[in-house]
Amino acid sequence: MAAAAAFGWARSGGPAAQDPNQPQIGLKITGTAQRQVPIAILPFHPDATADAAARASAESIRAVIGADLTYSGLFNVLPASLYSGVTLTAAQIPFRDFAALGAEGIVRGAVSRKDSQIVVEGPLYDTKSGALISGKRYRGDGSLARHIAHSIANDITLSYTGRTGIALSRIVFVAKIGGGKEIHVMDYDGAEIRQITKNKSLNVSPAWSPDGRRLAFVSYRQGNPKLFIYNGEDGSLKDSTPPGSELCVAPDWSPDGRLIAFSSSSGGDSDIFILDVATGRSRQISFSRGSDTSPEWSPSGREIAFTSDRSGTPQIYIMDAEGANVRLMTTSGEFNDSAAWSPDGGRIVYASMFDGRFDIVVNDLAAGAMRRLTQNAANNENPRWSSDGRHIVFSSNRKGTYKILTMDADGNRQVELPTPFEATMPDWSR
Amino acid sequence: MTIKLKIAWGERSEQILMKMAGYSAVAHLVALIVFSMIPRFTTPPPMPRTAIAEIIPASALFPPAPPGGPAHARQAEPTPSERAEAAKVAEKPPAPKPPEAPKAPKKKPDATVPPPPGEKRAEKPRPEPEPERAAERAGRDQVEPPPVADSMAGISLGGTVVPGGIPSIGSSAFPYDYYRSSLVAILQSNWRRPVAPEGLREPVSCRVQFTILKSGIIQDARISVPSGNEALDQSALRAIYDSNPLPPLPFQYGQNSVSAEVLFELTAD
Repeated sequence: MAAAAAFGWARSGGPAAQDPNQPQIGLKITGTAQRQVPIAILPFHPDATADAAARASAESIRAVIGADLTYSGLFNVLPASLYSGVTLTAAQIPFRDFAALGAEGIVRGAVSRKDSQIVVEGPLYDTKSGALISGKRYRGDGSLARHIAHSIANDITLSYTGRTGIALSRIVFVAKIGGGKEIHVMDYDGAEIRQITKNKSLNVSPAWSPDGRRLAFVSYRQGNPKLFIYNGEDGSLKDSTPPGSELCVAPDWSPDGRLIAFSSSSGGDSDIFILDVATGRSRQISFSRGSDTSPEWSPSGREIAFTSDRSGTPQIYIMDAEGANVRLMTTSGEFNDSAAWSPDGGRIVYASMFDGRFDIVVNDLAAGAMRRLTQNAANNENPRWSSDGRHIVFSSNRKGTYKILTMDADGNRQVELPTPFEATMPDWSR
Repeated sequence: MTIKLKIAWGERSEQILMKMAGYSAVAHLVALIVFSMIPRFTTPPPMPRTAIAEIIPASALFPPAPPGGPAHARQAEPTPSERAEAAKVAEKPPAPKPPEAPKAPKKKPDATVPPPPGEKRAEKPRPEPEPERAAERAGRDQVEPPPVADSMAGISLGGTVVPGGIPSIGSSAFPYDYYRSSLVAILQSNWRRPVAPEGLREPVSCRVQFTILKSGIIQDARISVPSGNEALDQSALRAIYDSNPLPPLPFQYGQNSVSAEVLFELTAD
């Protein structure tokens, strides 16, 4: 075979730039090395057709892309001050200057206006070869500027990782408004908060369908807690409570979107049930004497994690999706609840009580190692993963009232998503 | 009742008629408003439509070709054989182009888009850089990487053209360092390194060969040179499968695929 002679190769930038003595390819594989792509996002260039609104959106689009890429943890977005000395002309991009500044990728976008729409291009170039890596043109109503920016950020992430980013994902949560609790949705970065339910009742436990088009949640609008499915495509709302299953709580969709696991206490103590969304039929899969709640599917759909107090205190168990083979997952803590499976299936994050307050703990299933991710004099609850498994959303009352926060999967960068009301029970869309 | 009404009618019929008409109009208006509001309170509003009307390839608003040719050409001078191979590749008729993007609005955001015309010319490697300004040269020198090492532990990539005529990822026909860096980083993150056998003195390694399609899909992954350590071979293949799909090949890359050979090396713990 001609390729038998394997060539080693070296490169600049990335982790090699941090430690030039460390051969990059020499995957002395520790598995921990992380590539952060240094990238420059130049001001989006408004062309002659751009009106004032398009010009304003040009700068916000650039800012949103930069925030998305920084948040991902996969990119090092170079500050504009770094290249303030580089002369930019519309005619060409001084790739070499940017390569000299350490940029590996460069985005040179443009905004124009056609009819009533804005047209945005965000071509990504490789500074070393000057090659166009990716480039799409997006067109839409001016109100979609943020959405377009998120799309471009996703394109850029795809170009370096092979996976679409999470920039278009959304977070659903429960807002306390007056005496009621209403379901709300916001972009993953906290922008564009939209109210979904408006019935002044209690609407809780929202869960995204895997395709991000529907929401399952529990509503007390008819008195008892019942299961509803809201369809974001047409705004329709459907009572999906299976016959005979009163007092439904804590729905969670199966990875294929066909089933919903929930717990129901119609038979006395609460047990786990599975609802077939298409037929509306349900069946019971847990029969323990204790209370079984908070079911959560594994990404493979073969297992379900749930909380049960069958042993005396609430602990997290895992069972096969048919209900067999139940085993205890948490071996420490007096109160463990609200498990969530990482998208790769390797980790489970949950809330565990320490000294009377909840903190978030992640369990590496392969290594069997627990790690506490939050630690403060407040509750940190209801953790849920982002679809890339790199971030966790949760609710905390560390500043008094409950708010939604996100953090990296290792507990770093805990930031609040500001909401004008108390907010709990988040779930992160794919 | 009827008598009273009759009296009323008789006395101020016109005034009452006007009043009744007024009440009626107001009542209808209120009813209209109430009825139009009811849906808002009973059914939640749909989430705003997020689909974007149209996605087409970015036009060459900014000329993509670098003024001085790819910097990589200067970083590692291609060997004569590589040069010949690159020329061979360049001579090959261009790969069939996918159909032009229709002008009509596209619904699917992920639709693959053909490269815009006018950017094909940048495919060919440009060995000779144009004269450059001193400042540029100084800048370039800062990013000049160390000379290419010819042997390194861990993962490395093959550098020749395989017999099928598909350019190799390590050759000058694929002048995209960023892609190689990403590939190594992705494989690294997905390689679950097996436990080294006890008493391992010399590193053992295997080589995996595969093809990357334009879309980033991995095809035909196989062990090209086994290590003799089954766990290592399997872990290497698994790392490849878990990394599928890789990033799409650069928009501007003229071929439909690139071949890669990756070396996985296991050293003593």
